[in-house]
Amino acid sequence: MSQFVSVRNVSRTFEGRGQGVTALSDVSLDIRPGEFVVLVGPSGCGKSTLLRSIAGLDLGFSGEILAGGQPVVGPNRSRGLVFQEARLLPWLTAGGNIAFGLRAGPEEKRARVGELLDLVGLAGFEDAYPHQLSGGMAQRVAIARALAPRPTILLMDEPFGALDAFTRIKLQDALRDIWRSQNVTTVFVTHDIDESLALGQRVVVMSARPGRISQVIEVDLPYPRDRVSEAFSRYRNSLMNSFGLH
Amino acid sequence: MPDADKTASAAAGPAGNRRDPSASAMQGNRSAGARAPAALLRHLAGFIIPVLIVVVWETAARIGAVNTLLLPAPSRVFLTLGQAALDGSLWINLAYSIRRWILGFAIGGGLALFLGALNGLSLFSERLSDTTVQMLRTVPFMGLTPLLVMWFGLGETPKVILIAVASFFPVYINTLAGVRNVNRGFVEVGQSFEFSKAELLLRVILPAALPEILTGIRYALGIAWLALVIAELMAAQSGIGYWLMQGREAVRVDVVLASLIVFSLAGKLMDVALRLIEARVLHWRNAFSGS
Repeated sequence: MSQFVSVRNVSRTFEGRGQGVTALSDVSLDIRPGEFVVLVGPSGCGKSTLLRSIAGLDLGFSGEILAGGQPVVGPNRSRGLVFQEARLLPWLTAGGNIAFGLRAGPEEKRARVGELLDLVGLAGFEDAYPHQLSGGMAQRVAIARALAPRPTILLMDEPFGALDAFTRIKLQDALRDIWRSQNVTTVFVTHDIDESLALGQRVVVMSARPGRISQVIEVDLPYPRDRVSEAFSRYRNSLMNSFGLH
Repeated sequence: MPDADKTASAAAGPAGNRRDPSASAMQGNRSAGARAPAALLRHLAGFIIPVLIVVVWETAARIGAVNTLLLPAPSRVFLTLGQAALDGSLWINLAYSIRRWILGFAIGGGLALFLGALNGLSLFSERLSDTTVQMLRTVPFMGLTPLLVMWFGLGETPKVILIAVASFFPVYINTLAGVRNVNRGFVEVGQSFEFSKAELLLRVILPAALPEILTGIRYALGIAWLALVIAELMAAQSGIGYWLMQGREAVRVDVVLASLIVFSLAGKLMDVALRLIEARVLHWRNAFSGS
């Protein structure tokens, strides 16, 4: 199973006034099991649309998407989702939110919630309500919630986009460790070039109007990545160039 | 909670900018500076007029300035109330009234919750029935009384129906609005875990709509209480309204006034109890905007 997620000739048009908007135009992409792939590009390049299509939340595409060999026909518990907003249910505690998608008895739930709180570095916050958590903490809970049913694929749609730079870097490092320890195939959408290089084994560069993949970069740097190293800068420069930014 | 911040600032947006800066500065001073003593003063101030009225009224009755047959002294009214409480008739009548109120509300509110949720979830169902409901809503429920009496006589049925009708609309409107206001993102979270339609409804949509639903319920219970009074005045063999009618027929103004006091106190107590329940159920929300 060398292609764990397989996107084949996927196009997506949104009907608008007059002519439709082509969000994705003939996009193909194979993702290996356990891989960390980052989709990066300016707004309107269709990266979020592609992620939502893989998730099964947006099924208006043409072409085919396979996940674990099965065609995507809707959301599936084997694909965990983290959104830009943490989307924690405000009437549930952090623990309740993490257990939200679990199908298990109370004992098993409690054990799994404890495990996940440890994993995301929030041990002791089980009974905190979402309004008591900072943005970074809320996003950690959202990651734990997505991982709770042990998905094989983790799909993240600009999860750190609303966080300040310091929190963002901390969460990038935490996510990298989580990904390595859980061995979960991760597809991560961002518009932040540094973030894409800090995390991705492969960075898929997308361009807008129409949304398509313009370049795929293998980031040959060991983890944890030194964000101020020369090698990192070289990757950054080449990415900046590919976006026409100097 | 970043979402709440966003909505708050979005709501305050253009209107907030337009506001006169000196006015908002004044407001700031008032709320920050003299809140505690001012609140105490305001609290006491509220009692001055009622106490004055009772004192004047009592004095007027004692010195014979008013006809005590038409306006008995407040002490007389409270004596009547005390006697009814002691001989148990007050509690029996109150129990009958509360039973009708609860039964009528349970039927009307229950149906409204069901239809409001259904119409919130299904556009087809909304198109099918919402216009009819909105049309019926404009019929004043008090106007139904003669119709109900002609159709169902003078028993319990017309009373319970009147209360049910009065309870229906506030619960229906708030449930529908509550369901429609549910954050789409929460529904997607449920969908990502492959929730069934029933699970989405019970674990995402209804809890998210609960604040609005509870507002509707509290409002409906208040209106149902008014409907109860009307229902018992049309003809009853029990209840606080029946006691009131007895007082009217015997020209006992003290009984009429005592029963009005019971209606008003019981209504107020229920509202306070409901607020407490609401605060408990919605603590995840009140904890944030508390104080």
